[in-house]
Amino acid sequence: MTMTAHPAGYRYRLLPEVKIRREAFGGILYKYGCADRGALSFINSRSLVELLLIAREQFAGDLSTAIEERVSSAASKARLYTALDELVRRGYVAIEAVTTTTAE
Amino acid sequence: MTQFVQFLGRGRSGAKSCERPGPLALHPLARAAFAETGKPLSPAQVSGSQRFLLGGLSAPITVTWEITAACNLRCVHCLSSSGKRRPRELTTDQALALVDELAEMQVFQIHFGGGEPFLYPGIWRVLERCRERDLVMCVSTNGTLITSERARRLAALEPIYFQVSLDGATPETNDRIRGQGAFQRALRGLERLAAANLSLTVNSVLTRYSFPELDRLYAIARNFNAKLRVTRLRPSGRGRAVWAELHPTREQYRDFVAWLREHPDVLTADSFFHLNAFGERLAGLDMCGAATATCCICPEGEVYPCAFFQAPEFEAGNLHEQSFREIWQRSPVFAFYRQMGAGACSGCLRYDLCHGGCPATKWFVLQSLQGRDPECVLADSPTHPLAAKQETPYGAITAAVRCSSVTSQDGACQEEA
Ligand code: SF4
Ligand code: SF4
Repeated sequence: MTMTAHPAGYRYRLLPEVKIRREAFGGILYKYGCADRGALSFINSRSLVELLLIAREQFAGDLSTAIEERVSSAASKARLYTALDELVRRGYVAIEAVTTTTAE
Repeated sequence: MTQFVQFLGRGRSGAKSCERPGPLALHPLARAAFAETGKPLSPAQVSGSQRFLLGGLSAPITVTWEITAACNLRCVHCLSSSGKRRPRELTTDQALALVDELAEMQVFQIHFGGGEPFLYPGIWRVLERCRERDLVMCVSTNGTLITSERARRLAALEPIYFQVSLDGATPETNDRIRGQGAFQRALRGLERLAAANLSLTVNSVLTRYSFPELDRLYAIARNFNAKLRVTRLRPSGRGRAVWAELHPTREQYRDFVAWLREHPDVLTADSFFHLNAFGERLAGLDMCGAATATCCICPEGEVYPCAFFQAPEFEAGNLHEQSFREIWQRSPVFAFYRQMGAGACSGCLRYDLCHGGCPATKWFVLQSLQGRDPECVLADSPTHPLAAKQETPYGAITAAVRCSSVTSQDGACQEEA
């Protein structure tokens, strides 16, 4: 698999323990334990939810690669990266520094 | 793989599972109670996570599953009046099929309770199936049946969380509620679970007697590397008989809110959101999730809006007759519940924080869903005069108040991308 760095030299990775469920308004993210522990968030953006699902199913959780390969508009990309920063803050996504970009 | 829990054979057979039941299927008491609450809330009237729940979700986030009514204790406040096994409790095969169905629906978490879950004959197979199906488990136990060997076996099922009940920090306070010797036995269970490095919470129902012991409960929890979770006493099951005697006083509630602020790591989940009306939103889910984010499956397959709402008139369906999915999607009780109006609270400017309190508590105390929560923190406030008076078994409850400003804090991630 090719791992593509975010332009700033970082890549976003969806944590494997996060569960994602589509809903009519967008979707729900859940991380172990709900009210007692972990986290639960409602997301009212279908495109963000689809991106998360695609990243998990087709890019082994590598969100940066999923964005670079599947989103063409610069404005959409920027909005998605902003959304991912929020998901980092809420503990669903990790940012990994990319020291070398590898292609296999 | 879809396996519905569809095991007919109970007395009330003949439900046509493919037809959407009409409102007429509602119990008349429930229908009248829902009607009294007035118009459904519009999206503009709600904020935070609640607006995502308005129309109902495709599946619950958490299902509370009271897997057996058998219990070796007889707590005076037991919400499900547990004690003996009931004749129509789900068999292990039925329970396994239910786990599969909940997994297919993408339920995130199952919260096992009872009764005492470890008295259910198929409990290990059910927990193991949850593990196989990647469902997060939380088990509420009285802790008295946890041996070291069981604790080690449970550790292999991670992620699994335990809530061990202690309703006081001393044998005197705890055992007057949970029975002679329960305190020491629960501590031994906690010790064994902690020794197996399991994720633990000490679960404590707040009563006027346990309130002075909160600091000591906190210390006990810390001693086991556990979190303390304080929950609200509700007048359901055997709790109805003791609610008036045990529920905390208004002053205790006010001090409790201050205490929570000093102990931000103490969990309350959603149970105290009516206390938000003191003016500050407490951490945790902030609204009633019954029939929207959660529901309760009872030992004989009855499904209710939540564990505390086990009133026959609000039974949403039964797994001996319908699949869980059908009940979740088509039950008139759930459909009406999701459209409940604000009732007497509709004029309250703290509605956004309090949401009118707990519907189950209202029902069991007032026999109404339209009144204010019986423990409404503004009920006696001179600045909030009565607009209407409701006589209840516990005195007058005021309605339609105007309070001070509303704060709105959104707990949900809502990125538009
Ligand atoms: S009047 Fe209703 S919404 Fe207002 S604080 Fe009391 S219970 Fe809550
Ligand atoms: S009915 Fe009451 S106990 Fe049940 S989920 Fe709602 S607020 Fe909680």
